[in-house]
Amino acid sequence: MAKKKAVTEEGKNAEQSGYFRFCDGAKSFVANINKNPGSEKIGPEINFYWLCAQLGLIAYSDDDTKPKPPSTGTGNEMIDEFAGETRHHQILIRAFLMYRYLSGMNFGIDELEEDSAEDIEILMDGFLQTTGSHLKNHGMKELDIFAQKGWDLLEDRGLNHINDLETFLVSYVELLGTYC
Amino acid sequence: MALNCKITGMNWKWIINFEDIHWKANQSSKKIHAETILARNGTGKTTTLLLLQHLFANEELSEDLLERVKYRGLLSTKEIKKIDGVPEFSVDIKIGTKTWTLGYKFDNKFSTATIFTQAPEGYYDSYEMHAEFSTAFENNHELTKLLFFDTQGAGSDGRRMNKKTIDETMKILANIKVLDHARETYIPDFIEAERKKSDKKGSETEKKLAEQAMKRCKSTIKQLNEKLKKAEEDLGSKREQLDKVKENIKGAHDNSKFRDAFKETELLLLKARNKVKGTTKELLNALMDPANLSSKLWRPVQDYYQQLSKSRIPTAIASEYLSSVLYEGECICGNEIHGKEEKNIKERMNKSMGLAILSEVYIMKDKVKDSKVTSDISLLGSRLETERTARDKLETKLARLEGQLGKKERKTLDELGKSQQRLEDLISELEDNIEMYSCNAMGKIRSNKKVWLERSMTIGGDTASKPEYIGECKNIYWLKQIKNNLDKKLSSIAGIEDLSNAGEAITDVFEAVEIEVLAHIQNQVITESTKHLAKYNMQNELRIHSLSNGLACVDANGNVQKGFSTGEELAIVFSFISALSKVTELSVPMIVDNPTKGADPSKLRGIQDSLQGFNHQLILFIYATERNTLPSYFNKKNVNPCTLMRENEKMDGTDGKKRGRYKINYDWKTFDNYHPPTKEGV
Repeated sequence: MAKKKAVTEEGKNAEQSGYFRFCDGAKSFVANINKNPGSEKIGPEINFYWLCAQLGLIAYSDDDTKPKPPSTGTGNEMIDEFAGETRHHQILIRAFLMYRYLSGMNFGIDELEEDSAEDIEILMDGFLQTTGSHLKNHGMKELDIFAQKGWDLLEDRGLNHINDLETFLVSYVELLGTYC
Repeated sequence: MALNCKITGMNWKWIINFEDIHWKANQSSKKIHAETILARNGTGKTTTLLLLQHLFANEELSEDLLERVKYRGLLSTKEIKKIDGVPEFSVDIKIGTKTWTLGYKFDNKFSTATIFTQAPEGYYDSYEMHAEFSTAFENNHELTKLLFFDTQGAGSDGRRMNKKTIDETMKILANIKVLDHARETYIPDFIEAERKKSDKKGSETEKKLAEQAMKRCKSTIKQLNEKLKKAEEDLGSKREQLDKVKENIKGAHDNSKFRDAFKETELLLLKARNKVKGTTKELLNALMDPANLSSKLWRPVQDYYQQLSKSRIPTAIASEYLSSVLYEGECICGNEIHGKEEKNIKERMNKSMGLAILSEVYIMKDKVKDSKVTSDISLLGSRLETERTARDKLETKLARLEGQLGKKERKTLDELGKSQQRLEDLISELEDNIEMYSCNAMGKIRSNKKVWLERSMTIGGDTASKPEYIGECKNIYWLKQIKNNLDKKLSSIAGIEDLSNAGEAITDVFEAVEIEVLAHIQNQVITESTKHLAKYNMQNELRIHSLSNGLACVDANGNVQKGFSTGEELAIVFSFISALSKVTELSVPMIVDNPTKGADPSKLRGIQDSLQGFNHQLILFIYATERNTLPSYFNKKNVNPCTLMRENEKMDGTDGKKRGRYKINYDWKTFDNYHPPTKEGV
């Protein structure tokens, strides 16, 4: 049965404000590439954050462990909404994340029945909102977890030592290919 | 704002290489709005441009610029022994029907420059221009740099039209700078004055501590603003130096015995780098869209949302709708709603999502259903790998060629390479510092807390109140938050919270108005610029896409393009100025220094189109070879000619025994036949 998240009446509809958070190592990686005059730029950190999260979301199908997300203290905040290139694709990004989230809460594709609608809706309601990133803090934290998972994978394969975007992207696409 | 101004004359007296000359506009035709001033290399055209940028903005001249302005001319040939008059540079500006003369007077050592104005009503030892002119130009160096355009550095990365330039220019021309001033200065000063007058409520110690903190906060803001200004100036100068070093490296290649091999390899390398750059961008953009993942990875997501739709999830009725039914007291079937029905509806409401969240989910379902692959990631990855390998091979080839050069040439290139690296590092460091001082994105500020804020942010994320902690802050935005909180605290101590709150409310309103007006003007300018840009027949259908973060252009495929060729950048600046002029009812002159300098022959047509398409006054500073690069532009139909040459100078640039003073010729014969050597000379 679904592990339902307790949603209090007060918190149910309240819009929340929070930040996407990214670990220092990943942030330094972006800064190094953006600083390299011989490399094309990644742009804002959230572009790379999404590349990591996308990898994490994909890799989750083979290995459903979740790393610890960056802590919620000050120092690792990144941004409070989708920006850069992710802004144009934020709906599909949220859709991908919510698919993993609901599946992980025992609502896989085979459990999507009308009878479960109420439980699923409670989960959706606790996950989405209409301002900022359109994700409640819980949703943002979920994406942080997948970004961390992706970054850990990049570190495992030594891709974190690359200092130009073109070499990184070639390796990243190769890595994605291993999940196909 | 309505301003119609035109430069009708320029006067150089004992500065740069000029003794005493007076140029007048429209000497050949009154109808033609383009003027061309031809002079040999190194006479002082670029220095004149820099003087104009500073003069219009009423800016002080730096030591470097004063050094450039210093008269050398006939002193260097000993034809004359000393300066024979007061050094001066001035411009005659016609605004409406009246003329003002605005200029600098220099002391004989060129250590100071004093601004003066000869206004229609009298003479002033200060900047006393027409009100609308002052509003548009005074302290608006960003605008004057855009209008008085040095093509050196054009086409590099479009940095001329950065966020600061665009925002500041538009704020001033849209008459909202005054709101900015009220928010930043007038309202806080007024509240502070009231605070000093009022009876205090808090203790003396409390007040003293808060005042000390405020003093430190203000002085730190001032220091950081100065550091920011200095870093921005340094960045501009380092970038210019880097461009020069790159030019020198190219020059060293061109002068070597492998000139042709270098040329061929450099050309191929440029193309290869551009290919890698383009594909990298394309692949990065493609990876941002999860729909471009392989079907094995994305199909399950699509199937999932399809299943949600099949199962009619969500089934919820929006809580707003249920609330409205309750309010009406009548069900859609027409029955009245009483106790039991009301209880049921309330229960349902509590479980139901809001309309906005429901629509979020429906939009998500539709988007996932309609999502399609727009780029083949795997194919792009392979293409990038191939292009990267080809580029690396050419890099190696270039390095090998350099290795085959003589010892001296290798040493020169080695030193230039080191200079390039050093400048790139310095530029990167300056960019980091500028971001640290000026960033106003709270997420980014917080994530750089350790270095940017230190103890000025408390562990809980609040503003610090101890002066020594405040002094550690290196971010202006955060210091302003600290200042706001200290303002509130001091107002509370002084018992004027209501006034302080009112000030805050007005500040918020002004800021909202600024944002709205700016966005509105930006939209209008984008629409107008697109119309203008269409005239320029841009090869890749380049158009202005956004002004919210500096000027951003997109090509026909919607790809954001940052780097421009000289012709493209000229066309974009002309279009932007034309659009801005129309939207803000402004007619101002533009000056372009060396419009075709270093331009690829294939781009000359674009530059010519840009020049011909500009409808306001246009003054071009050119040297002789430029006249030949645009033969079908520099003619009686398009421009008024003017040639600056020495009295005894022949048409081929050779001098008589005495060179004589500079003089001005407005005839086409001199303009067409003057062919001085291209090397720099006076």
